[in-house]
Amino acid sequence: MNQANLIQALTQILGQENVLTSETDLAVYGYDGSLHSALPDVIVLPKTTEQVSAIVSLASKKGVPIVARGSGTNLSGGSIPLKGGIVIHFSRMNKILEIDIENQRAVVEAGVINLDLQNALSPYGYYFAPDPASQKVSTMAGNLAENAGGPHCLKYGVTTNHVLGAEIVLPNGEVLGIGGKASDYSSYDLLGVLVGSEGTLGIVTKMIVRIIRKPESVQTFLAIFDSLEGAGNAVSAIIGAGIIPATLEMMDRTVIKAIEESIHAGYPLDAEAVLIIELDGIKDGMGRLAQRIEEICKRNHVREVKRATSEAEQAKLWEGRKGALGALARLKPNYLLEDGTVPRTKLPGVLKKVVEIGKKYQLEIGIFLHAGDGNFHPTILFDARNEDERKRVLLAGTEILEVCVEAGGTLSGEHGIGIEKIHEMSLLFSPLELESMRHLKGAFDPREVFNPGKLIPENR
Amino acid sequence: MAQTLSEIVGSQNMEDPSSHPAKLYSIDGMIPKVVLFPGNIEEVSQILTFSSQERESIIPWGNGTKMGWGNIPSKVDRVVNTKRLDRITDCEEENLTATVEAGVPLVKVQAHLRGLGRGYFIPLDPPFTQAATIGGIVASNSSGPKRYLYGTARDLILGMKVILPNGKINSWGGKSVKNVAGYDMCKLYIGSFGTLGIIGEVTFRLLPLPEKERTLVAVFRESRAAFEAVSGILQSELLPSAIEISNLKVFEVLGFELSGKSGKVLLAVGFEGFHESVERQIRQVKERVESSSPFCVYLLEGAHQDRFWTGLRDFESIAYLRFPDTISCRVNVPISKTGDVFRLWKEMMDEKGLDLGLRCHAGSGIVYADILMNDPNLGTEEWFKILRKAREAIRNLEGGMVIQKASPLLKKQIDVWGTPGKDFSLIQNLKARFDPDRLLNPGRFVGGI
Repeated sequence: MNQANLIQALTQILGQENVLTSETDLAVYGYDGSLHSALPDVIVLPKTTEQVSAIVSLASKKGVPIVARGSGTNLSGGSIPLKGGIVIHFSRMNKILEIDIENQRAVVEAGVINLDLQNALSPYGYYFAPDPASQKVSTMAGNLAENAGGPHCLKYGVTTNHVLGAEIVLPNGEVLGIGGKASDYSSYDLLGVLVGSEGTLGIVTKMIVRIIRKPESVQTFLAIFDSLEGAGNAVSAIIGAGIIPATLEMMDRTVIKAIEESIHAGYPLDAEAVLIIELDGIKDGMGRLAQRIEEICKRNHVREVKRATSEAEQAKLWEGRKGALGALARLKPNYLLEDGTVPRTKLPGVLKKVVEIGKKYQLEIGIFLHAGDGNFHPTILFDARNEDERKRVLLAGTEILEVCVEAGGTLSGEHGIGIEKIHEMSLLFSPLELESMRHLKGAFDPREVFNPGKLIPENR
Repeated sequence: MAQTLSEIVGSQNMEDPSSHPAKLYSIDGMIPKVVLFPGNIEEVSQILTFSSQERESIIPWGNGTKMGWGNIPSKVDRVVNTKRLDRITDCEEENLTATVEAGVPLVKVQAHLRGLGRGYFIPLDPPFTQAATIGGIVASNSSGPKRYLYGTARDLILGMKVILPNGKINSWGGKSVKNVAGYDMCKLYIGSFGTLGIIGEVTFRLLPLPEKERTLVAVFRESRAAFEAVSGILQSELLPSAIEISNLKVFEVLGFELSGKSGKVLLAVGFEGFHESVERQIRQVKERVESSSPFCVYLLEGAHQDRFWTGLRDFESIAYLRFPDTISCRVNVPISKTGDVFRLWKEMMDEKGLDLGLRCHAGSGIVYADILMNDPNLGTEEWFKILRKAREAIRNLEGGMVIQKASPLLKKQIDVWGTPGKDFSLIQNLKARFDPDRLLNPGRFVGGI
């Protein structure tokens, strides 16, 4: 099918105003939060599942690739239309269809923004647990596709633990409901493999998610350390003492400085590391727990543990953490954000190695971590116009991933493989394992219509 | 053939089941040609490589507690018994992970973890407490009352080593809670009844043992009041670990003495965690439940509490001993429909005058109906009608029903999993890609896959 025919057919399905082809549009939809970019041939903005199904049938018959896109916050190149074709943008499928308190479920369209759902649930005293830092803009189906995490994963799990059902469009255009408001349906766990599949298995149009009651009490602490090691050891010691807080977030000196310059969250500029520790749940006993955490921090040479005394103070501490990447991004034109995860106990050693890698390649690296999960984000700051620096960044990035894998960890905790880490997949998986992943892909999308060139390296 | 298999596992680790007087290895009346006891994952791999070349089917087997589940297999050639895959491979309690081989009984893992450092556990409490193995629990996605707080196998498994039907070994996941490197392949093996691969080893997420556990038990005159109390608890700030509703028949079978005998329905709410939080919540739930006018209320802790929960967990195995012809159904519905299913089953069985053990995870939408028959006067035709009626009613509630235990005669007439859904073609695609010759547990899972 030639370009003009394709666009004409899409226009028939969607109306002219929902088919974008201008040069500016193509450029805007050609990049995401990663270092990659590639231009689509056309962007479509469907309003209904039926339209998505019609678009997919059409493209599939003609062998045109399709990339589903939410808000494009992806950090691994997952939303880049690597092989051109159609980008389906879900901004117009953004309705919260149902809030069902007695079944503890919400039903949403793919393009609902995470924070919009949270705001809609709030008056009922409920929330959706996954809280990626991008939640102000990222969409629910994007969260599903990446199996998004967030600070509160430590206690509440990641997106896959909170999605119960989905309506998906298969490559032949068929609309299929999987899962539902109940759990334990008799079948293979198709939803389980769909979550985190980066848009390569099916296109999600609706989701059924678990919603949970807001905790009666939340206490947030800022622990200030004079060494990165002290903060790392405190994290291990808290978990080792049998305490699982709602969050255990850590930021190093570079990140603290960047945040204070732009957000003023109240982190001390002369600290080597800070921890944000949050407890939530039943208020009884929380005081004793807080005291134990403080003692553990003291044993690990904390300078000070401050407790947020109001909701405004809590919000301020979180504003800093959630704005960490944005603040870092202001320092240099470009950044490479890594997302390795290692067993918690290996964290102090791995952090040390990351600092060494930074020195070796003469790069500025800011590190913020979901420390309680062993998931850390070394952010390498650079200027892509400097060819030599760019090369060193990529080498350092790969070396950091190798360190993670050696420590018994993994390539990505929450950002996905996309394009960015596709070559490193063979560090972690044997050819046999990659072949099994291709079998899974083949069972859903044998002709590779959905998001081609992502997640699994090509068979060579 | 015999020679090669014995070269793999050693002749002392093979058994000819036809010579076994107790028909120990019968599945719905079908007897395998041979039972193999591989000593490690490598041997399982060799058995599967060899068997796939010979097109011989494989039935994975742990302690056999759930071998009656599923449809009648279409072909039973070789049983791979995981009994000798009995190692706790690795415990990193400070990282909150433990890796164990498939043949280890969960009870043994829990005992080991309890003794490590400050004490840990895998937050799973499935039935068959003493016997159920890790592999069987995961393959059948078995769960118990505490799923309300901790979730099910899919929420607790971080990694897995599986042996594919062609004998190839795959390792998935790792030791971290967050892991999005590639597809989440572990999910394919949870609850898929060994039809895609044999589970060799599993890495679980651990939790520290709670400081304190307490349980409230209340007896109600009728189920409506009990379910209303649950609905109030679910919407309160309380964080129970388990919310169970059962009929009194369950406790009669278990031989528990309850003074509230004239009641009909029993509600149990468990709490665990930090001392202060448990004490405050048990006080609050007591006030709440008392306002729903129960017949009586008890508070349990210590040995009484352990006995109570273990009994409830193991009800089916205890019932099967006394009533071998029990027909068991497991229902999943949205949480708010749990009471409807409870009443549906009660009314259907009252009408037939049959004894029924009814239990439900009231906060999770799971109902177990065990029809206790000493002398089944009803023919399979009649049962077929009853089960179909129940299944239709449940489908209208956006749920599903699995017949977990029934005679082979009845199973011949009805798909125990129910009619496959619209996703069946995807399931078939997956099966065809991973097990093209249909050698693993053929016929037993959804749609006779």
